[in-house]
Amino acid sequence: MFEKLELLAPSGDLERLKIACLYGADAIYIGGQNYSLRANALNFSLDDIKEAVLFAHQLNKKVYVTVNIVFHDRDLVGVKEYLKNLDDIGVDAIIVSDVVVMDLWRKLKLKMELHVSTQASSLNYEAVNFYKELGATRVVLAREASKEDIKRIKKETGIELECFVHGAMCTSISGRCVLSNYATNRDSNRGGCAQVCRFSFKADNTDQIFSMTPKDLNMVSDIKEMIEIGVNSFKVEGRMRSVYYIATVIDVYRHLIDMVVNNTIDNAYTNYYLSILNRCANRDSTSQFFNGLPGKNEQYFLGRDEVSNKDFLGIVQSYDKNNKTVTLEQRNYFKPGDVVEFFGPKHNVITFVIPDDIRDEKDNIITVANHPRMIVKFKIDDELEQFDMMRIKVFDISQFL
Amino acid sequence: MISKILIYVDELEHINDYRKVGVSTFLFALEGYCVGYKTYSLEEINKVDVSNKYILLNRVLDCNDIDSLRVILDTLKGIKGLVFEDVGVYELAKKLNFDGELILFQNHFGTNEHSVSFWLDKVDSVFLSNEITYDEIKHIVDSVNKPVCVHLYGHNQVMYSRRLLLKNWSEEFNIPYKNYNLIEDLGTHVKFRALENEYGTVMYSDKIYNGRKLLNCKNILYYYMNTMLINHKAVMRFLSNFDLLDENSEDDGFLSRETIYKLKER
Repeated sequence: MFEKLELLAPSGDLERLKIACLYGADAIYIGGQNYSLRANALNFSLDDIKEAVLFAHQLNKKVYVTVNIVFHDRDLVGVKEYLKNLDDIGVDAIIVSDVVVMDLWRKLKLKMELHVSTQASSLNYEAVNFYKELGATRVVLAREASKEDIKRIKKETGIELECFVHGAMCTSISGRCVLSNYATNRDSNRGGCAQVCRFSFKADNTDQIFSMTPKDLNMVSDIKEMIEIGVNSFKVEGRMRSVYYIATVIDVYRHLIDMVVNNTIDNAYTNYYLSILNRCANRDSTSQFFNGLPGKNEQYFLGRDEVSNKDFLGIVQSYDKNNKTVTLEQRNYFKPGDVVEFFGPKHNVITFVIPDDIRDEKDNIITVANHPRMIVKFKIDDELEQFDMMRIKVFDISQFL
Repeated sequence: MISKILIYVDELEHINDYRKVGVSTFLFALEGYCVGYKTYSLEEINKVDVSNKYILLNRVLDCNDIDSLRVILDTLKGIKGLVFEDVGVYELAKKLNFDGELILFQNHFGTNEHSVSFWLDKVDSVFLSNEITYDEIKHIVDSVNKPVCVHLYGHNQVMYSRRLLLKNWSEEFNIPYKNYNLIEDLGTHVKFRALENEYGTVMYSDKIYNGRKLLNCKNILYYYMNTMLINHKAVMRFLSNFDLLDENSEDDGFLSRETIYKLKER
């Protein structure tokens, strides 16, 4: 049997949190309006956090809040009250990199758990032991951890380990970079990272322009091994990602983890899910450090067009069982005759051809759905749910079997 | 004041010059445990005849590194202490009852009084961050109950990657490999000095940080001089007169330039 396994999703707002919960995340990590490394995102107010916790706990899911900046003295004003508030609200854990917050957590005797952020760059068992002795119940390992390190750390510490499985990578070891401070005067370790490593550079011995951009992380092919070596929490990066991205990625990893647990995983499904994720991403992805040191094939060197994905066609708002009619909010152009598929947390993928009779909000027949966020209705026999997603049909599992 | 300088030794033959001007405390980067520095084997360090020798371990260490460090620490002699980045070193040293000094040198951390005090309860001293202002440093130095370490002179470490960025560029574009290069961000025209070994790549600031403003601070254990990538004459010039500032090649980093926390602060 496997130890407790958790799929951990990012959320930048309440809508995304709800999507992540519904699509199979066991826990969601969010940032408050202060003290979090996505300083310029909308983030969650205390009222939002309260609503998020209520929603998640009703579904037996957990909510973790990042308090992971590296604090300057003036940033500490109000942090004690903030931590107490999070604890009172029922937040399940805080994710922390600065020892000042770890120390406060201990002194305030807070009920919520202490998780050590990847910003603390933990890559060996003695570092993890240090945090364990401080009271941490979980350590998020540095993204540079190899499978040998993960296995050894688990063996030597027995602590819950959280590892990233999907999303963007830093060029540097997280927390060990202040390129933004020097290039833009924005403080990397207080949420101001301007992703300078993705800018264009020139070296003094060549006219060749290059960047340092790493490809994304993607652990679809290695998820079984991660589970076997003792990873407890599988973390998806991207608190600022779209609802479609979150739904797609969480849906895929939910299926994969369940298939590993049920011993039904095989190459066909792995390749199918890889194809879906590659289609959803706007960058190539690799397993990065898990199987060894990444080389030149794991990064980009030249500027690239990040083509915005047009696969996401709409999100279901409601389904009328009597009339077998779906109402959805359009997200990209579609028209009668297009082959699409619906996916959602409560059913398998449904392939469907958009019928000739599609209507707008006022029940007028329309020939195309071409206005962003317009309301569109049409008949479909399969029962759908709010927050199901409609996307272009590109892959079918039968292609991979 | 000169007795409070901790100087990184980039070339062994420079030690005598440093001693002549009164420097008596030296930092040696240990082979296999450092990035962004010229390193020395333990045997080489042992042969150096100075009384105040510290060993630098500035890598983020993996499990194998910890295993091999356990053997080294068990047999280490003639060393005043360790200057280290990874908290695993602290944990290991504690378990081995290491009897030398422990100085925490986490780049970019050490930004507030409470975190520094937390660590000072456990170790002998702590380096303060290079990315905080003079006032912030002064506040910390005046508030904590043990002497701390501050940067006085040298290229500031800006980024540390486990990736071999220079090697990757050279392979991708078929450019002759150099483990050191000056690179420029074409958008902001800010330059960085990239230095690589088998354990990763470090970016340093192009300009030399000159922290002479901090010389009036009390409660300092060491003023750190990182001589890496700096002409020896420039180092000696600074040591002979701290008041000199070469405005073309030096600046005071963030001592008088606060970084932005949120964009709305602009």
